[in-house]
Amino acid sequence: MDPPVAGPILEMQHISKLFGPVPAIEDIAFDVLPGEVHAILGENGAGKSTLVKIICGQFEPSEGQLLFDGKVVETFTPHHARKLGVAMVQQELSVFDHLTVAENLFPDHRFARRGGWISRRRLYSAAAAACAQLNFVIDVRRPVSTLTPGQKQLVEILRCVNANPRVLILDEPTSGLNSREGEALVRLLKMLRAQGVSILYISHRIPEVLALSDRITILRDGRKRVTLANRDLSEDALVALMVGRDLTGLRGKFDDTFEGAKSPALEVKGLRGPGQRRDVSLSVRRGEIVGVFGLEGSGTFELSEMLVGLLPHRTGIIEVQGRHLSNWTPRKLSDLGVAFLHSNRKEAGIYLNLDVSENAAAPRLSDLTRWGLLDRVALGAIVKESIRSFGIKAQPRDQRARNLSGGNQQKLMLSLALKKAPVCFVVNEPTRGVDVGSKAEIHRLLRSLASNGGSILLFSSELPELISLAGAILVMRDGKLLSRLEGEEISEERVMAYAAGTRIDG
Amino acid sequence: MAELETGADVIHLRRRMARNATLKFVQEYGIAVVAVLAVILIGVARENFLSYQNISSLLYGVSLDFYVVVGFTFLLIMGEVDLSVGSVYALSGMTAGYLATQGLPLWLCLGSALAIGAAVGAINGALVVRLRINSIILTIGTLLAVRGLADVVAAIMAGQRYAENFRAVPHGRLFGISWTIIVMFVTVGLLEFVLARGATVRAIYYIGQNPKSASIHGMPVDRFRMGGFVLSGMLAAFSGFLVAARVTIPDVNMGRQLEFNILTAAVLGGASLYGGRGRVLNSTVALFVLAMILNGLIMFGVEPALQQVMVGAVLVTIVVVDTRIHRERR
Repeated sequence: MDPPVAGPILEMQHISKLFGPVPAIEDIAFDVLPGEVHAILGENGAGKSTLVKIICGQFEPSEGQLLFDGKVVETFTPHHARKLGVAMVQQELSVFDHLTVAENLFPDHRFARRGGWISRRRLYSAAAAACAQLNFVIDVRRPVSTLTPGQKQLVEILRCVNANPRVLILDEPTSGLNSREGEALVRLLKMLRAQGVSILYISHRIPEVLALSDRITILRDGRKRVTLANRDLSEDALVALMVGRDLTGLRGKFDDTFEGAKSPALEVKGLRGPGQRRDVSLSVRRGEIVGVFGLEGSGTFELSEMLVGLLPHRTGIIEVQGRHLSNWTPRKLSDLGVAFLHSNRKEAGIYLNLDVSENAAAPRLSDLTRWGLLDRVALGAIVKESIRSFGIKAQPRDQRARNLSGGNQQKLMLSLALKKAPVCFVVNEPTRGVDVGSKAEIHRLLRSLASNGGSILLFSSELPELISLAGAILVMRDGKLLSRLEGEEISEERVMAYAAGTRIDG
Repeated sequence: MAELETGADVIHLRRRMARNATLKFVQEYGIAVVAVLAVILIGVARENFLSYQNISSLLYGVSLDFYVVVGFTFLLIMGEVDLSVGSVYALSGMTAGYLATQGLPLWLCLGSALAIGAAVGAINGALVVRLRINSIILTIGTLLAVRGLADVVAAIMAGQRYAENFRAVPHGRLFGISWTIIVMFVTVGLLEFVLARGATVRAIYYIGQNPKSASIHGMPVDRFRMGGFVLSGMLAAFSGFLVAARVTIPDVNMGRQLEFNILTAAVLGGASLYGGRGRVLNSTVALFVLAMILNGLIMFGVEPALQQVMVGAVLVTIVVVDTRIHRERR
């Protein structure tokens, strides 16, 4: 065996992990070298999370060995992993909302102890120094609950970095960050790499992975496909390896030959929420996909919720199918043919503890009534039809929604939102946390809705998604819709420039 | 699972299925098993316990109180709690008795009791729905306030008995059984059916699981919550009406700590403190089991103070189990 310094810091040998009889990962062998950024790519359910959870001690492997510094790891506890120098940035935020940024960065008050007492001054100066590393401008005395999700994510990342890890694991770290924060993170990771820290990087965002990593390991169906050095790799090649099929056909260019008249399907005029200073007006025509883009905190999320009646509004009217509404609820809009897909699948989409058919019944309770009772025969038919037409892989009766993969959950959520073909479909992050295959299917579905005369208002933080789907893009900043870009005007650089405020005309 | 190959895998899978099945069985029928065991245990030790006399008097007691647990279960399914039920029960019961003693016709007395229940429920509901206040804390407030009003009524009537026609209400018999018991069986059966199959009412399970999804799916979440609190208040008032009549005199201790027994029963019957789960039949059976346990303790000559300890222990145990089941599902 190599001397520990020159060899890999971390090595997996034939590691498998079974949950009951089902293998989550099988016979995985790979290593991480000191001072490299090693990316792990794979569709949802490919086994990425299981793999890193073994490394950070949350799971014990069923078979195989994990070597750290050439020594076999015997105990698998998060505490032991931390002692070995493994730190992981969780995908789900685990910040302490009611404590300050500084207290979150140093939960053990390492630099600030004086006897048994905490020196606030030293705590704040250490925290400020840590933030400066990232060019992260923030008052470290602020409670974390007042930060944006992106800022919280940065706090979380900084906390892990502060533990001086030898291996830093990041699971989808940029999903909540805007572009500036993302760049800051990339700078930080490069700096850590230069200091000899190994970084294990999990992401769906292939361009980011290509830009950052030294080596890339691709998992598919719980097995390792290949580990590649990052030289001359193309996005399409990586996607093909992840999915095991060529997706270039699915990512074709936007087709704008719609049938049906291009009359407005949904118009919003002068919409303003409580405490907001600006009105928002927009309109979507039949057969059109209109994208809305804004960075974290620009108000796109609030706009989408206000638009469908989940958040209260103070002024404004909505016009659907010739009806003017100044007061609306999700129910009223849904009766008028406005469907909605929320960005948070778990809290505002499906019912994780119920099975697939109970989920399918949720939006149709009043339609499925026969003499006041739930018509189970009709429900069964609907469930079968949704499973077929949305390509959901599930057993209707036995399978709780929580046991479905992310992609299947998302398709189930879509099938609930689209109980009938909508006049207008307000979609927020339709492919968040979804594997590449399901993503392509969802995109195809949205396109076909539009080409059949539906209209779609698409909120997404993924610019490539917006650009490939939408015929027009509205850019939002500071609660204001800035401009409507159409056709040839749309480019990633342009949209970003408006969103980040480097361009202020229009 | 077509790819299962080795025998070990099959055993694994069987174990997991068995585990799920056990969990499901405990959730669905656990309370019935506890009931049967309790009856046998106490019945063997104390022969009076299983006498027709004793069982029917226990049933009678439950048939007066079960309305409270019905309302409570509805709210728990939606993820809300109404702790003011004991006070509402006392205030409406005693007020009805007071009005009857003043010579008002019975139907007006009942109407006033229900109106009081509806009013307190509407206040609870409005505050929870409009201001999004945690219902546990809010209803502790109304519990205290309404209890104060009940004490006022008790003080006004101190030393008097309720009017005779009022006292007679819960004593009617049909086919040799108290009418309240028959009504209980019919009501529980009906509600059980409606909750299982009624399309509109099913919404409460969705609301309890995930209120935001439910509202996106067009369910009137706030209206259901509001309705749940009003219903809970009215049902508590109706029980209070019957029980006051049975007790015959105003009693300052009427309905004191009732909310805790009701909560214990509902959770013992499988309703979850985390919302989304609960059945009327199970809650009612659990209320009966709780009454049996208390009755058994009395027969064994256990001190009243220790009885309280037992009820507390039962509640703690069930909440622990409930939380574990909840985690299992997360």
